Amino acid sequence: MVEVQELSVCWNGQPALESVTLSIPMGSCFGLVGRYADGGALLLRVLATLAKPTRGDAWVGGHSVRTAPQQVRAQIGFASAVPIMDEDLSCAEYLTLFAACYRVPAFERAALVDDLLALAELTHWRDKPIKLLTPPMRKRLDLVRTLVNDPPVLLLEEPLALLDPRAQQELQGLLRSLSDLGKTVVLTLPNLALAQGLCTHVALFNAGRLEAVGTTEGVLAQHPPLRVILVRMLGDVSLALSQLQNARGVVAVETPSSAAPAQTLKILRVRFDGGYAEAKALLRQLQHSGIQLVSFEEER
Amino acid sequence: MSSLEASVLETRRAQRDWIHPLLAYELRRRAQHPTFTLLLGMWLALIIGSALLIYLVGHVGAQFDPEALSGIAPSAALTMAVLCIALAIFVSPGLTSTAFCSERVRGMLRLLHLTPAGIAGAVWFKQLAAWSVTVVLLVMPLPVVGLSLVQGVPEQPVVLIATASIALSASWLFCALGLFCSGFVQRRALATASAYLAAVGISFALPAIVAVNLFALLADLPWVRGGILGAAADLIGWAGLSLSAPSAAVLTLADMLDDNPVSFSNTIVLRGAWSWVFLSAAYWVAGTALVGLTVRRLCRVVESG
Repeated sequence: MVEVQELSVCWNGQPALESVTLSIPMGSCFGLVGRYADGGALLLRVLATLAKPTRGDAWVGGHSVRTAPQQVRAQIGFASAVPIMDEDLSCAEYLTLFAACYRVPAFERAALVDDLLALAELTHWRDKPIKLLTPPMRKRLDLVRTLVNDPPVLLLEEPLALLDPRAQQELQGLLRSLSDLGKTVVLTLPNLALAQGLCTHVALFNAGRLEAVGTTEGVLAQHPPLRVILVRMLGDVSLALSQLQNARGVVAVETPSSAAPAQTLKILRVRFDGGYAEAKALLRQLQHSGIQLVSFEEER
Repeated sequence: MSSLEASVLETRRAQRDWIHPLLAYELRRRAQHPTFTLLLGMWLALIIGSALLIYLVGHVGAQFDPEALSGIAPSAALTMAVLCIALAIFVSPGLTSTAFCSERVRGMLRLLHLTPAGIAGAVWFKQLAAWSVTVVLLVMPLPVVGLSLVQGVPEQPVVLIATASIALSASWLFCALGLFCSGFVQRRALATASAYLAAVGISFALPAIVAVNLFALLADLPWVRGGILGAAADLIGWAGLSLSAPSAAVLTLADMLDDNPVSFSNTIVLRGAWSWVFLSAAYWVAGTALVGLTVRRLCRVVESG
């Protein structure tokens, strides 16, 4: 469905993606894992025809991003990390506008918009302006917007960014239901922890190079985290989890059992692949977010 | 065809897009913007105020000179003509000069780039929507102009056609100029300032330099002097008219009409008429080219992230 062959991209004269070759199976949920500058986001943009490859090529549905960008665009739905939309439009108007741009016949648009709003659980917000929506609602609206032309491939840039844990879970459910519909979902993620339970396959990027590719479990087994940080804390763990999962360098977080009483000491095991600077930034982030931190240390 | 099929076809026909949804979106955005209401109100006040002032001054003057009444209609028509030209020059660039400055619009452009409508659709419909606003504003003085025509002013139709032609084409060009600046400059104030500077430059500075230097030189050539293009003095006037600012073109034409009554045998007026046809055509072409360049520029911006 999506093939990438020896793809290289230079950004501002510097190589940002070097000789990437991978194949994304049809119907899979494929995570491009890495920090923003590592190359995953850039590969997604190349697949969306929003960036041009310097060398090599990529094919979506058999069409080359180099030679047939228009045909590629007909095969994809793209959502950026931060949904940028005209906030004065209502949800229905926003979807209708894109349906019209994708040349969906006028007599089919109303039913299509109703279906998409139902999928995003925004039916009651149909005629409300977008500015009244919360960030998770906007994300869901933007996600279903990518389905307007019923594309077989969805390209999603950091779909879980800026969302609280509950909203992340809701969105993960929506992404899984899209996979169930037979869509090939390609998304970028900042760390492997987020790919667990969501992606069937992942590709791990580091400094513009493809480090590993395969099933999520396989890649996790091949690339175990370099160290484990123990975070001891009191109170509700959900806030700490949301901070940790979006932090740079965090690969996975092991949580205590949910049955633990609120005031007992909780220990979070954080698999961490960042350096000293990232660990320092993570500690500062936890301290400033109001978490009742007891200790923050590396497991020996 | 069964009645059911006919009914389905009828329903589909009723739900057809009579206006492209992107254009409808742009028009609605403009119409709902508070600036539009403000602009409409100010423009209406200016038209009514000017017409009333001319009428009152004419009637007061008639107490001393009865012939002053006959000057009301031409004055009103010419004032409306100048106001329309001024509107085209000074309002059109502002309608579009910040069109692509905001991150939100650029984000929407990136999404539209992936649709069959593309960036070209977005830019062209923005241009059309902005130009439609100026057309609405240009139509508003028509009642005053109509009243002048009823008063029976023989030379006005030519001036009015000249005005309409140049105002429409100039507003097209200056809307495109605003779009072009907003495509290149992302700071709103800077984009607006550059659009207005370019508009003023096109309107006043460039034509004067070209008209004076190039055509004065041409007029002195022995084979041109007294030839098919007319005497040197006529030629400079003709050339200045064809290249000068829209406002200067209309005023020059009006000035010519004062001394040269309209008739098809009047070569100066005919030359003048042809010159503003060429001027309008040049403005349409230049505006269209600028929109095309804006599309290319924005495509590059989107593809470079």
